[in-house]
Amino acid sequence: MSDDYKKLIYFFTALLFLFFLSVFQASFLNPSYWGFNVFLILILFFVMVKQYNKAFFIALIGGLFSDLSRFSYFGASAMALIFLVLILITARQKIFFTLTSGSVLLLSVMAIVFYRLLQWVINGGAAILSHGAFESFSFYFWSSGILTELIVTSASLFIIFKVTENMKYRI
Amino acid sequence: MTRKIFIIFLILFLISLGVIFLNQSRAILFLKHFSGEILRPFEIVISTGRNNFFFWQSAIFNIKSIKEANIRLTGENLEFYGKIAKLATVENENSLLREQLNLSKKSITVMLAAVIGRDYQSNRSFVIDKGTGDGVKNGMIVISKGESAIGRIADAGYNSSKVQTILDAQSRIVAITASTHVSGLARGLGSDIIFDLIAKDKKPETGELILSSGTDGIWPRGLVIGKVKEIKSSDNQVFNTANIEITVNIVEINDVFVIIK
Repeated sequence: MSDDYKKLIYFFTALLFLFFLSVFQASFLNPSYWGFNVFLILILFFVMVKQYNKAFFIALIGGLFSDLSRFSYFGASAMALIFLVLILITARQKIFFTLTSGSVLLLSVMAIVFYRLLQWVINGGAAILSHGAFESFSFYFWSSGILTELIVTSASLFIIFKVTENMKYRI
Repeated sequence: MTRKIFIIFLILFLISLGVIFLNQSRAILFLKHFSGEILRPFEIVISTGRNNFFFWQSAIFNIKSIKEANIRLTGENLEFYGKIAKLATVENENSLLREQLNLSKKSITVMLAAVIGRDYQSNRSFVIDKGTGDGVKNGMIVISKGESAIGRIADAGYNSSKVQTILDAQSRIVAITASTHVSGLARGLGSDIIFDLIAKDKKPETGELILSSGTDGIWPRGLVIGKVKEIKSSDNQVFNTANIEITVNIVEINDVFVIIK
């Protein structure tokens, strides 16, 4: 099989995988109290292992799929995730040169805080432009959800790196 | 940062910006509805599985409290039998009086729908398993048991629809308090809801129910929005406001009713 066919198959498999992940996120994770975002975890993982193109791909496609079950501006989550990838790449290249447990934790904190901030800015900006109202800042930051998300996200990344410790992605 | 990364970012940023700006274009709407229709059966299967999983998980971990609640409810049930008997008599009297006064009976037709998808860490919106194929249209009102206001149909697909809840920042309901009859506007803030535009000389009572007044022509009269939690009054503000405690926990509801007419 030629490389072009292989790439095409990989592309559609990845698309299908992200599609099912978005269903799982909207129908299983979001209604439960284990609030975490699987796309955020995947993006963090790919940024940490310096696979930046994959991180951007997940940000765009994952964001668009997420918006299918949200009453929001279609594309807003994708935009927030794309910005987030850029921020994380900059942090990875300028601050976190090596991948240690500390850097995994700090990048997770950064990702969660910036993602919420970007969501607030994009959704709030759109709300102000369309009907002059804004969404409260505290809604995005002062809830137990942020703590749970932080714990689950960093724990998931530690598990992923532990599982792959014999592979090239070793902390 | 390499030039290549920045170019990729720029291209993807422009794509997402284009998608946002062309939100109402035919191509994007078609894409959204088409993808939504494909998602729907999977969402139904996963949400049903999730509901069963959490039901049994809750049953196992809360067996003691379930037993205690069962004993308490059995006692309460006996009390209610007596009340139901009295209520039946009152209902008969009520219908007779209505006939005499030529008053039409308030009747709404509803359709049961299951919640199959939710927004991430917020109660701003959710997806239900009924769409235009079942008679659902944009703008229809969604309520829960006890005629509590939940939201409106914001985006009806053929087999599923998105519901914008009353917590969304775009939600506005003209409302009135149940006992003091203070009118105002129930406005969503994303996470909370406030009772706004209350006349300076009027103050609702803490704990009293806030109902939709029906004067906006959108929300039917008498739907329960919530209770007055805290009244805020300041000399330098034109109106009084009050925080509302909503009566329904939107994150916990699995079934809702769509008002068809």
